[in-house]
Amino acid sequence: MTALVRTELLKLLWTRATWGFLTAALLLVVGRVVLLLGGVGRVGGPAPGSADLTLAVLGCSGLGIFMIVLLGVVSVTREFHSGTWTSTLLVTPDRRRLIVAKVLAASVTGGAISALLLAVAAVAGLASGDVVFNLDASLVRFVVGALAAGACWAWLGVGVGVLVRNQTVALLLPVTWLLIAETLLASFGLRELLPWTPGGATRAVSGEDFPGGLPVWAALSLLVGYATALTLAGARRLVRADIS
Amino acid sequence: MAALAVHGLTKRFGQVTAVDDLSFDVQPGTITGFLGPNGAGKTTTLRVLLGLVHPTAGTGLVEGVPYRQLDRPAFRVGAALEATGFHPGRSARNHLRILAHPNGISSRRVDEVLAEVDLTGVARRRVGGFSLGMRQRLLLAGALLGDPPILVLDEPTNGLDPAGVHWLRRLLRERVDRGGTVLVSSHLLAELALSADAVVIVKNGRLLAQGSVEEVIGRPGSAVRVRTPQAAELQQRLTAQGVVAELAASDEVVAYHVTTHQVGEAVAAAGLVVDELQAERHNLEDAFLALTESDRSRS
Repeated sequence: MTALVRTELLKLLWTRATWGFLTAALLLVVGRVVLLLGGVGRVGGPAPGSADLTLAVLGCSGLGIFMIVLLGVVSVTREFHSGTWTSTLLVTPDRRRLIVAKVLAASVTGGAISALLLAVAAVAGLASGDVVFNLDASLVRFVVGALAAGACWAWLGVGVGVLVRNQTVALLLPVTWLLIAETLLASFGLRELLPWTPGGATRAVSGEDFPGGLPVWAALSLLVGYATALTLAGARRLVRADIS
Repeated sequence: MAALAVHGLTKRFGQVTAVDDLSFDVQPGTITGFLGPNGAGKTTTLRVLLGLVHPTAGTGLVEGVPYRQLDRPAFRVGAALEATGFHPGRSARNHLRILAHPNGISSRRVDEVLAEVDLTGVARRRVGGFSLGMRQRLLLAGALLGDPPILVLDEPTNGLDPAGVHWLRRLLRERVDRGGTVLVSSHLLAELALSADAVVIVKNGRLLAQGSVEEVIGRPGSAVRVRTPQAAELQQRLTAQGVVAELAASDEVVAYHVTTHQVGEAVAAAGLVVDELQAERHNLEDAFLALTESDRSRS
């Protein structure tokens, strides 16, 4: 399994899409941090040196979730899109093991990207002179939650990719869900469902306090549950599929 | 035990039957040609053998085991299948390293196979810019990574120039001489006749013939065709000598189960004028066309 995971990591490393998604995530996070810091000290804006500002700056890294989930999707759909499934399955005929390896590799990469985005947000905050980091329980919980969310969203991406397989549809699905479907839930008076959505669970995992928000452990379990369900459904389909 | 075996294989895609109760064995130490017109079910059969397609009925076995149960298959079977894709942005070397890693094959071996297929000079170039022939060589390199005793190749000469075809033929022969086994599907019949020891001919997913090339096409040179203005006289003389001979035209005689030398002696002894004398060379193409035509007339 180690060799398989390493192979999947190499595939991600040697795919230009990975670097494209990473660059886009960095630009999103840096841009959001700059906007946030621009409002520091203004009326209604966060106060310099406050714990709220620290968490808000680090919270900007959450925008990277969009790119992380797309990376997870592409790690699977790219094989169908470019027709490399044949050679992949010839060297690894056990399709279940292959999917597990893809999940592990994507999750490790998702966690690593989250760590990088957190670090970039933190450095930008420190450079402004307005952000102070005090290593307390809430900060630790936030960082651990952000890393877990990154790993989970990469896993979710793999699940969507295995299930849908069409690259365009699979890429549009999670973004549409996050940007449109979850917003519509609130608009249609189904706000109480939001904590149970992947987006709501991610906010809770990141330590965000909002009405009806689940405890961190429950939110994390929910994210893992969504990822597992998608992956199992996709794996069931893929194991039975003819690769022709 | 057969190196590769297909037993009672049937594969349906919806209403279409691609392979219909097909059975054949590939013996170790042979190059076996897998022949059939387009849509005969060759690629589907190879994909079932390699665990990529699920059979509706029957089995495909590699040394008695389904491909999916092979541990580190790169060391048992090397496969190069048509329509296998490449990540266009990846270099040839990295493409092979990705295939090598799961089976624990070193990067040194990757460089060796790149040299074997003459791609060392372009090893670090992106595959997206490769010609069809270079892609074919890269596919073959992937099949050779584990130096497996069995090779399964689907139309491996597509895109290769004549020198490349010659190189491939020599490569396959060398591997078989070392005890290897090759199953190769190709629509280039003349090329298979030169390199194959045995053939399997399929049409509409069904087996039409299987055996050594000689068994399938008949003994080469066993008939001699003579064009002469004295055809009737030659036919009588040959018949008198116990040779089966017939008048194919008013100026043409065909003698069976004789050599050109024997016919030449008969012509010389009778002092006949001969315009042309040649051995009838039945080839794989004739046998293939005869078999597929007779199958068409039966159906």
